[in-house]
Amino acid sequence: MEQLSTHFRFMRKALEVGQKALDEKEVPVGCVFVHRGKVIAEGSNKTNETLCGTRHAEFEGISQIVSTNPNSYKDILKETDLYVTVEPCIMCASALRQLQIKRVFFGCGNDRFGGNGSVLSLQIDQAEVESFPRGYCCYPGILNREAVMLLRKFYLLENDSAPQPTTKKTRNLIEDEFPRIEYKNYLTRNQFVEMFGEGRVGIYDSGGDGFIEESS
Amino acid sequence: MGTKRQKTAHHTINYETLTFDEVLRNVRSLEGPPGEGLIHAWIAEVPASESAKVLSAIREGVDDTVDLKHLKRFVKTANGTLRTLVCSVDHMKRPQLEELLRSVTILNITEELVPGIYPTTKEVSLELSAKYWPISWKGNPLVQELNELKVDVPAVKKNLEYIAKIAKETTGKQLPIVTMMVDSRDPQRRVVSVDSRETNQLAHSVMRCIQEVADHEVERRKLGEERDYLCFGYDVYTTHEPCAMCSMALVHSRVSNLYYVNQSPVTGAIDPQSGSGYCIHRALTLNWKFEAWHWLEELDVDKIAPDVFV
Repeated sequence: MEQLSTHFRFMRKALEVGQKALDEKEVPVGCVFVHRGKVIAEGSNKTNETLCGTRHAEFEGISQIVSTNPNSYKDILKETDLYVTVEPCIMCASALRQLQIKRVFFGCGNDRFGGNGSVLSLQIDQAEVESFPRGYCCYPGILNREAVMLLRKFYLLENDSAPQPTTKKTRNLIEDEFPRIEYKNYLTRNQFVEMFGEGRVGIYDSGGDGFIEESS
Repeated sequence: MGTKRQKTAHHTINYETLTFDEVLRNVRSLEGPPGEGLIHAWIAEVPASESAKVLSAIREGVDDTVDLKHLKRFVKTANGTLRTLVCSVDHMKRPQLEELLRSVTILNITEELVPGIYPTTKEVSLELSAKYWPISWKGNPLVQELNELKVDVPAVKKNLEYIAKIAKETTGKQLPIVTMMVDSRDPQRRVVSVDSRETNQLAHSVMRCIQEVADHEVERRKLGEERDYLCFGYDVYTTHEPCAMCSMALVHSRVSNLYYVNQSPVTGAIDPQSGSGYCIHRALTLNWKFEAWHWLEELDVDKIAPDVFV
């Protein structure tokens, strides 16, 4: 039986990777790809360094897997879980669907670009189309406060590469308020219970009024 | 409406099919928000002589976040009084409203449903006006928006013919999908990419093009040339309607226009009729929009299997 602590452990690793992105003045999103219990690739956002808007953490990780396994990456990815600190954007969520990733775990939602339920739901759409790649299940809320803190630290800095940078001098780091996750937007009640246990179903039912803790 | 040349338009536009000069279709969703978009508003009936007073009380005291500018302020009743639209019910409660209008002679205050959204056709406008509260119709916003669009049709045709020709030259396992990105400010600056998913399943032609523009920019910066931001200012020409991944990549990259030849009815993410109808280039909550155009004239581009993500 899979332990919840396993998922927290891999998400902590993804947060470490995200921290590296912050140090490099990139939007701090980090991820790890886990195949049969082992991390096979990691990725952090590289859009500033590469001047390329598609170089998100997920793509960095996938590129590694493709280049180290040019003949078998498709089979590997179908058996691989992704742990990413922020909900994949629409672009990444579509890429993951096309690759038939096994499962996606994420920390916080992505209100503006999220492709796993916040804006669109690429992981389940067109399930009725026979020729479509199989969908995947996503599990939000693993260390979401830590993921949000990482982003907040970044937005306190100024993004020099965007045109007309705005000053954010008046902003302070908020450390005690976190957005609640509306779990219904991302997965079904059954999927939630199977992953997080019957004991936490109140978190699902009350519209995310609570956080998933590693042990409770 | 139908086909007509509007004096202010740059093209002959069919406002029903959204076709320009019969060769390009502007791709967008025409669906407005669902339902009639009705909201609750406060209506105050006043004697006609009080119109100036009630108007100034509203101007001074109402700062409504609900936009009601498309509605008429006064409706004259049969016995000569004026029914006045004050503000949305969400904006203030009745005691506040009475306080606001304390200097005005009020005959009656009611809460009523009014059309909350400016409609897209005159017919709907008339219908909603008759049923609820009159709208001041100032023309179709879609017509105005389309009239402002300007496309260099011969240049688009030339560029699409060029990528179609390259697509014809693909061989072996390579799919005949080609994308070209052109800097609209300097059309000599352009990159062309062919789909290469045989080496990487995600190496769609659009993704490769975006990467190539970025690689060029890295080189330019080394030479100390003027800085560009992502693909801002670029137009995209592609043989097939892009998938959600590529469409969103174009949003992230801030492109201006997308032109494509073949529609992708199952996997496409631009046309409201394709796939799940995402219309990603105009999805409201995203921070960037671009115009998308479907080329309608005969152009020899190979059909690909419907389950292929372009």
